[in-house]
Amino acid sequence: MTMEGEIVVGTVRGTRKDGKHIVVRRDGRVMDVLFDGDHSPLIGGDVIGRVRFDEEGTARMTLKPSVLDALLEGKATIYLLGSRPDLTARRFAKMLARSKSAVMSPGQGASIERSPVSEDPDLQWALDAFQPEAERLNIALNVIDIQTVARSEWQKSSLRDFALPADVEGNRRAMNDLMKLLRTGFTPQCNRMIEMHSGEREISVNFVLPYSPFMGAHGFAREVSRMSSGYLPNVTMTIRESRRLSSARNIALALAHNRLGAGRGIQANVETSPRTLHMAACFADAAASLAFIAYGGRRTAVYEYADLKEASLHFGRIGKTDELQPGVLAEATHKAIRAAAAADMPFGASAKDIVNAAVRIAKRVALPANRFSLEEGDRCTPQEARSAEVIAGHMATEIMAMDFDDLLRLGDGYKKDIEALVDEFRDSPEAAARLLTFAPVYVPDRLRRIFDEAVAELPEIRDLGLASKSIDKDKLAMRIRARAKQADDEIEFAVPGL
Amino acid sequence: MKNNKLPERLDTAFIVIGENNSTPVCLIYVPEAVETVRFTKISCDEEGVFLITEHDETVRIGNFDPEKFDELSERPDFRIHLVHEVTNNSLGEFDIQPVARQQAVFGV
Repeated sequence: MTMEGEIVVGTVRGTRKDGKHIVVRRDGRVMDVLFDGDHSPLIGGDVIGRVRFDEEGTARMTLKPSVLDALLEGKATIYLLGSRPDLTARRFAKMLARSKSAVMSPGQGASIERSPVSEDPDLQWALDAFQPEAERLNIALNVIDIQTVARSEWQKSSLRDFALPADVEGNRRAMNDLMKLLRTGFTPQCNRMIEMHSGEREISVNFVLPYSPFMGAHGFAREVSRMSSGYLPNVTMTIRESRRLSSARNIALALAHNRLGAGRGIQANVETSPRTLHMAACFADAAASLAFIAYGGRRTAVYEYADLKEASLHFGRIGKTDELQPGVLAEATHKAIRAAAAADMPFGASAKDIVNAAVRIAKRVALPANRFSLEEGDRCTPQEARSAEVIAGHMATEIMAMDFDDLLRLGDGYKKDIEALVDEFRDSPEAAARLLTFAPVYVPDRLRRIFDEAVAELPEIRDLGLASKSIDKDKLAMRIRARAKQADDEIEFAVPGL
Repeated sequence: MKNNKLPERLDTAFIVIGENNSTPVCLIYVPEAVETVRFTKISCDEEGVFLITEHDETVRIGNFDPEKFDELSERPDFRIHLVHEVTNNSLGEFDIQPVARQQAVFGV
């Protein structure tokens, strides 16, 4: 009995009256197969394909040019050979670039697992939303299965093998980028590359890191709004909602260079300037919001996401000035998100319709080019600053001077958030260790006790080498510095511990 | 006759194994100069895995674990897929027979 999805290699020896072809396999077994697709096999010709059985038990198959093409349709494990893994990986990446989108994760030993579907429901949701459009545009999305990576025990060498297939350039840029992102708490990103071999610019996607598994909803809100630890986010967004929005945004970003070009077939290098980055961010956030609502997501969560983005114009200032930290204005996509939330997108809309609508929104609401200054820092207008301050007041509560009992009541949302993360990762010592390394970045001031109590039940911490706390401390220090008036030594002791 | 075009080692290769450990395929990238060479067998010894031409000449495949080869070569669904390094075109995937290490005899 042939199991569903098994790859069959054989020769067609004849046809039945009902249109089925008689296929004799290499081992001599005979099966009747109905061929789908545009091409029918010739009698006497060799056939390769993946056999599936329909509801009536009929074997159906679509012709494939090689066993490899048939293999890559399903889940596959890949071992890189050769004494030049960079060359091997480059060839491998070329091959993957012509295949369909897939989720990548480290396998056993030095292998890589590649699967057309993910077991992570939030990531799969985002893939389902955009994969049809990616395939229509011939974009192979190498999405990293972040839940598996979080639970995996990887060393620098295995990480290299894992990352290199995404590195079409044949250099170490993709690996270095991925290492950096994983070391800083699995920072979500869409990583692209540009090839200029034929004189024509060819942009492709190295990898998509869809979301950070250790952020939680509060961490996500804090990161999006650039809120410091002296505030507590006021959000009803759940962890799953935050992961879906983040995954959808980063997968949609992978389509930006193809969909934001000046004309048909013209790619846009979306990373050339803050304005193009802003345009791509508007597109991706609009697409993520449209997809979120079109597939049954809460509209309130999308409006919260927009408010957090607008609040970043307040929290992302340099000191008390109207000057913004680098990248804040480019990520100010609140107008695009609100336009998407207000759009009349039917339930279950197609990926193509969602992406088309997102392009229109981005082009309509993105800030003009003269708002972005390459010489001086970006600034928000007085009107924007006032609005952002009001929104920030709604989205965050300042907790430094708050009565402690009130703070504990208010911190109940954060407590549930961190407890949910602890529950999620308690089964894996590796993931637990990474949670302990990265989650403290998002602990609100004066609520460290809640975090410590929640993580006390985690398994023994293991030194994973890559999980360096120093980067996070720096990041935290930068945040503290951003809202401090005086010198660094004052800042260091300014946060009361509990 | 010794083929001067043959490199000592092919350094671009990988193994792809399907779901439930099904249908292992070894892809080996072949440089342009070797395009016309006809490989007929693949086998291994203590030093590693190698391809064998119709004239019993050998070309090693870098970093291919012999034990992994032993495991795969016993399977009837194991396939070798040669790919042109420049064009990425397939140079055939059914012609090369895996040969267990003790059965590979050369220069006879």
